[in-house]
Amino acid sequence: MPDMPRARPFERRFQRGLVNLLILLLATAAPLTVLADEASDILNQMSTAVRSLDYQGSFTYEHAGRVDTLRVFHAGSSGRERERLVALNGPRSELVRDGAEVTCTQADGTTTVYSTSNGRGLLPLVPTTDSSALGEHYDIKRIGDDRVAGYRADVIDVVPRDRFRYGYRLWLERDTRLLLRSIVTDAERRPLEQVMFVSLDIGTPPAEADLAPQNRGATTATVAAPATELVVRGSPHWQVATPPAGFVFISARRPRQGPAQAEHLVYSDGLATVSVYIEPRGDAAAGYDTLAGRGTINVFSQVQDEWRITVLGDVPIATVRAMGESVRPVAD
Amino acid sequence: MSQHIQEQLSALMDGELSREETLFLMRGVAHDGGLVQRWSAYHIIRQSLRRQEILPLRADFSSAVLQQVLAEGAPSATRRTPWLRWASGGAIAASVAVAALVATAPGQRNAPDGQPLAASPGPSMAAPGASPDFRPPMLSPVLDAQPASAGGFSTPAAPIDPRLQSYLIRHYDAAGGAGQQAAMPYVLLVVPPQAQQAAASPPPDGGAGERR
Repeated sequence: MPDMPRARPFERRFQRGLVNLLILLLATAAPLTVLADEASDILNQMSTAVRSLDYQGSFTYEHAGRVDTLRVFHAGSSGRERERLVALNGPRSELVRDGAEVTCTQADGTTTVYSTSNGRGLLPLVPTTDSSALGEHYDIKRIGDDRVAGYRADVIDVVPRDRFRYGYRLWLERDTRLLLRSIVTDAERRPLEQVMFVSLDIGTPPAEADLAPQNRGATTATVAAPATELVVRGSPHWQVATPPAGFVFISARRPRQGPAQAEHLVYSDGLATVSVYIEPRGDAAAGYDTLAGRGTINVFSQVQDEWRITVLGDVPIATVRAMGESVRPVAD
Repeated sequence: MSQHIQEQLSALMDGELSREETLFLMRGVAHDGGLVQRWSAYHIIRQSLRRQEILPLRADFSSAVLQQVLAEGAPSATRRTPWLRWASGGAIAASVAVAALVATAPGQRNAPDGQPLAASPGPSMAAPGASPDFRPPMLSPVLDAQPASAGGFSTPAAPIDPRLQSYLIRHYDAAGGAGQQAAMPYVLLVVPPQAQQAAASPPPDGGAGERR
C-alpha cells in the first residue's frame, strides 16, 4: 500500500502556481524598491536637461495670486549655455545669459550686466545630487503620467519630511527629462507657486536673433554689478554653526573686491540650495532684522557686529532664519 | 451619519459622484442638518486650501443642487446655457458644488475678515424661489481690489532691488544647476515685483511662518 500520500495533480498545479505567483510578486515588487533611487536619478537628469538641451517655448508662472507669462529661448547643446528669458505680459523686462555673463534689463530700461564666476556651460554636466542623503529628507516617487504642452510627462512627487524645506510636484518630459511643469508646495502640501509650459519645442536651436538682447535701444543706464566671485580655497572664515537637519556646507566664495572676510557660503540638502552672504555692515542699522520673500525665495538679513548676514534660498522662512541666526566666525 | 454618506459627500466635493448618486445624496441632505454642516465644512476647507474667498453656504443649497442636477439630466432642455452644456458627465457634480455656494457679495459679509463664515442650517439667506446664483471659485481677490496691471505697466514698475538682484544671480550661479531651483532659475529676475513685495520689509512678528 502506498504509505506516502502523493500530491494530486491539482495540488501540484496549485503549488506550482503559488511559486509562480511568488516569483511574479517579487519581480513586480523589485522595481518599487528601486523607485526612490530611480526618482533621484530622474531629478539629476532634470537639472542636466534644463542646461544642456536646446529648447524654446512659453510658460506661465503663477504665484501670490497672479499669473505671469514668459518666453524662453535656450541653447545648450553647443557646450556654451545661452539663454534669453522675456516677460510677455506687463512691463517689458528680459534676461539674457551668455555663458558666464548675465544681462538683466528691467522695464525702466535699467540694464545690469553681471559676470558670474561659474560659466556653467563650460563645466562637465555632472549630477551633484546625492540620492541617499536626499531620501532622508524627501520622499521621492513617481506618481503617474500626464501630458503637458503636447509632451508626455512623468509626474514626480517630492515630499519633504520636515518643515525646513519645500515639496515639489514635477512633470518631466519622458525622453529628455526637461521640466514641463512644476508646483512648489509648503510642508502641508499647499501650492505656493507653479510654472507650466504652454507651448514648447525641444531640440530646435533658437535663432541667433532670439538669443540676443532686444531691449537695448531703450537702455537708460548700465550698471556693472560686482557679482564676480572667487572660489575660496581652504577653509572659509565663517560657518553656519547649527543648520537645520540635512543642510551641509557645499562651497565658499568671496567677492573679487571687498574685505578678505566677506564670504558667500553655499549650503544644500541635496535639492534646495541656500546662500549665506557675509558682507561689511556698511550703513545698515545694528541688529536690523529683515525677512522678505519673492516667489518661494526667502531672504533673512541681520547685522552682527561689523557684518551684515543675508541668507537667501528656495526654502521656508524658518530655514533662512535658523541659518542666519547661527552664522559664526570659524574659530581658529 | 454613515461612513458611506460621508464618502459620498467627499466624492461629490471631488466631482466624482454620478448623477444618480448626487440626486440621492441631496435628498438625504435636505433632511439632515449634520450633513449640511459637514458639507459646509468641506467647502470652507477647500476654499481655505485654495486661498479663495470664504463664502457661506446657503441653507437650502441641497434643493438648489437637486434643481440643478435635474435640469442637467433633461437632455432635451431648450434653455441650456453654454456652461451647462459644458458641465456634462463627471463635471456635473463639480459644477453643482459650485452652484451650491451662496452669492453674497464679498463686501456684504458682516463677519470680520479672516474669520471663516461657517454656514449654519438657519434661515435661508437667499430669497425663497430665487434662481440659484452661480459663482465659480475665485482665483484671486476681487478685481476692484487689484491694480489695472499687476506689474504696473501704465505706472512705473517697482524695480527689483539691485541688492536682491545681485544676491539672486550669485545664488543661482553658485547653485550651479544642482537641485530644484535649477529647473527654472532667473524667472524671478524677469517678473517684476509687486509694489508691496519689493525689497525687504520688516518682519511682521518674531515668528517664522506664513507670508501669504
